Amino acid sequence: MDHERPTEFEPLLQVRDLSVVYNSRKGAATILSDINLEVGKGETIGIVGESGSGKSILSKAVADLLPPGVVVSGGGIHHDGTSLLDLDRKARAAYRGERITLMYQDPFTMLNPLMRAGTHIVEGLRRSSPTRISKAEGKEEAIRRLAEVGITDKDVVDRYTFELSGGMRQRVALAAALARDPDLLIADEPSTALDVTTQAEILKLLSRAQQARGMSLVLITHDLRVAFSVCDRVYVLYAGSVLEVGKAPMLQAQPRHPYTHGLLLSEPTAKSRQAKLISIEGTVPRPDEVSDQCGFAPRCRWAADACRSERPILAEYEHEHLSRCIRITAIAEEMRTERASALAPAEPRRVPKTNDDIAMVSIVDVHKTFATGKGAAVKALRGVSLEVARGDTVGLVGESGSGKTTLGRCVVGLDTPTQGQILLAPKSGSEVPLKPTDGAARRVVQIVFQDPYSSLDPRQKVGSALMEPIMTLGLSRSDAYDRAEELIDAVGLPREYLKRHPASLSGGERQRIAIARALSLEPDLLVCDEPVSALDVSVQAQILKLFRELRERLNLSLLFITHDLAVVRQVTDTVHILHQGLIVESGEVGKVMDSPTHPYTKRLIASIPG
Amino acid sequence: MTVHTKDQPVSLARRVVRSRPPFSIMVAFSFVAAVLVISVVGQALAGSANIQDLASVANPASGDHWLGTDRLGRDVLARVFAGTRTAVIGPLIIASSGLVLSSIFGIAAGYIGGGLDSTIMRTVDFFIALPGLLVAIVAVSVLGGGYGMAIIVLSIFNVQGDIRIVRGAAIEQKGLPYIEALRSLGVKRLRIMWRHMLPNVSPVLVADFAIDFALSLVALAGLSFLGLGSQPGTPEWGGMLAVNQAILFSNPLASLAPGFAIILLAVSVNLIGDWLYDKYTAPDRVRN
Repeated sequence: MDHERPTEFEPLLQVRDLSVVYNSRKGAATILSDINLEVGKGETIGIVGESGSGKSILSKAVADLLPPGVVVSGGGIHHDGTSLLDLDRKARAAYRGERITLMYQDPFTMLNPLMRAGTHIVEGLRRSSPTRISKAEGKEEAIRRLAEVGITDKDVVDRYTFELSGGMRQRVALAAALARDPDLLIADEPSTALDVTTQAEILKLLSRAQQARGMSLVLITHDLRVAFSVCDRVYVLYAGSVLEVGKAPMLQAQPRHPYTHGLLLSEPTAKSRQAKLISIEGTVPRPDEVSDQCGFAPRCRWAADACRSERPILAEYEHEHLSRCIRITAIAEEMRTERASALAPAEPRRVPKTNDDIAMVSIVDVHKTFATGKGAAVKALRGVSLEVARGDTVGLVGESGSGKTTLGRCVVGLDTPTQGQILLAPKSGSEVPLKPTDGAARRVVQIVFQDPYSSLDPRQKVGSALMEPIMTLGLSRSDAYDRAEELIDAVGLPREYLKRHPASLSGGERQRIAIARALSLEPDLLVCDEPVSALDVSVQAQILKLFRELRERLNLSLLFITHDLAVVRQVTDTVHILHQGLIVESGEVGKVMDSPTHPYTKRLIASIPG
Repeated sequence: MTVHTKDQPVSLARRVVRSRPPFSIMVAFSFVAAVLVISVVGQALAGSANIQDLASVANPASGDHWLGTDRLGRDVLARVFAGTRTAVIGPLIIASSGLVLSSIFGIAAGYIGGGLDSTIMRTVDFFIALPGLLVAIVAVSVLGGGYGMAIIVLSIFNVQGDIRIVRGAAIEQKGLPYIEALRSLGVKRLRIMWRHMLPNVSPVLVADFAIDFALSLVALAGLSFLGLGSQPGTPEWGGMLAVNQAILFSNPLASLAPGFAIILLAVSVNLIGDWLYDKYTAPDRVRN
């Protein structure tokens, strides 16, 4: 990587040919290989990758926080001229915290719940100042530091972290990480666990702090759009190696690797409805499976024999833009055309019209109040009314605490409303409408949950999971098995998966199984509660495509619950914006998103990164 | 739509789980296996367990008697072997009853909740307030019945802790989306408990079984040590430990051997229980 740099570029952190392995009793498994990375003084870089890419391990290697069994097997890490790997344990520990600090994803577990917010910050101050500071001085400084991250309420200093919201906690964590005035801050998915609006605030705050202090920032994320909105340069990591490096605007406008290209396209846009959703098939391989070839070749539609016979090197294709793709000059044009056509806006979907104008579900003035410990009550829903027509896809958008999940659970009968009513259309028109808790409602409405890792019984084979609901209808084992085969075909998985346990499947495959299971009773309405938010970007697009396809084929109605406006844009016809238990805006999805009227909707849409 | 199956990532955690058990577990397994074999065929080996040889009393270990003889000149090794069945049967009954009752009551209390949960748990609280071992001592000394009575009393008092643990595990499972998915698919409550809850709390059941076994092994040996267990004269580890204390200096092995047998069996069973627990909870943790 000794290509030309602007003269003012002064490297602070240099990672050279870094390799990291995991040693187990079964032998060594590669996690990272030949990583070269540079962070300039005052520069912000992004490390982007899906799960399994090794991005978090890279940050942990730099901070000397590798988990047990994971060791650096080669290469070096230099910070401001000091070789970190050559320091002894004590010196390294002092380095971390003083000059390199970290900030993690989960604001709920990152802070000690037994300590007050201010204490987290004062702890850092004590270590970096040469003389001990008094309690009062510490508190005053903590208040100043909190103000720096936008917390002006002085009382927060004395609050326990569990009394704060997610966004507030993430601010406290940032203040604590900055307390030692580091010259390098590593932020590992700092905004992923937060709501859209809070997410935008935290990212803004991060870049403000970075600029004001002139420190270097490494932002680790799975979301290219987040990286583009904050970073100067972006490293794309895949299966333990860097596939592409470039300046953020160049990478965004013209990616030089098919993987980056695919990743960019598989992130749906919130700006318009895409006629075709593009996804990368398959899943991220283990680094050792692709050690002697291009890591992306198994999933790349442009892969040639040369890609599979040798491991390509990271070469510079244009100024400061490196790629590991050897075919890039040959396929650049094709990639450009594909991008242009994929982003071309499409007409809204035509909803198939049926003769009966009966709603699949009609929700009338639903309230739901949860009692909490001390006699207080939380009003999750405060009078929500909406309808889902037959064949329609309705989006329900809201942040955490908006009541969107509660409403979904009420529709499938997992919760009951405290007030108001929910009526479902029965299977045949002659019957009376059903309540969600009725037994017959099971054949009308089903639910797909967010987390495919916990929504399948880990001890039950896939086949048995699909057959079980069918057999409750009184079908024989062999009939149920035939039906399970049809279901697994419908969600695009091979039939041999029926004999597998969920643990051997990837997240995307599990979600397909969960969808197949929900379809087993041939419902007319599917409630999808954040069905793609726990999945990797490239897999998200696969699942969204599946929903689009199944909806047409089975004439399904969908109630699609999500926080992600891009997902809403791609999948739904009408949308309802839910805020603190009330619907604040409803309408056709294009209209609501292009010209929002309610201030909250406007704020939501303004927070979309990129 | 096709999905790659060839490049299926197999998580590291999963591969570790599938590897051979560690050496200590192999040793524990072999010991427990040996004890179980001896408890079945031991009676044959121990034909000489009650033969008294008053000419060679309290002899130390020798070629004829590998662990020496006791105060009545009986072969210690033969008596340790003969005592194996008694040592194993009591704890097996106690741990098994714990397993069955705790899975029924624990899962029912945890999953169904409400009034049933309160009823079961208040009963559990009541029994936990009573000291089981003391009740066993009183019951055996007042009502008689020896070993059998001790097993019955300890069985009754052993279950409560297990029920609490299984209930906790069941409540944890109940909150997971897969149970909610089954409910919304219209799967019957009894089937959810039997076919889904039970397999998923089974690691806890296995660990409980091992702990119950070890604790009741020691408790029963303790009762025999106090002369409240099996009939005097029957070969039994706890009893031997007590009686042979008197000849500790002439043949130390006479009391040490059954003592070690108790310790080794208790430790081995616990080790195996822990290992199985880890092995069976690991696949659930597999994530990318």
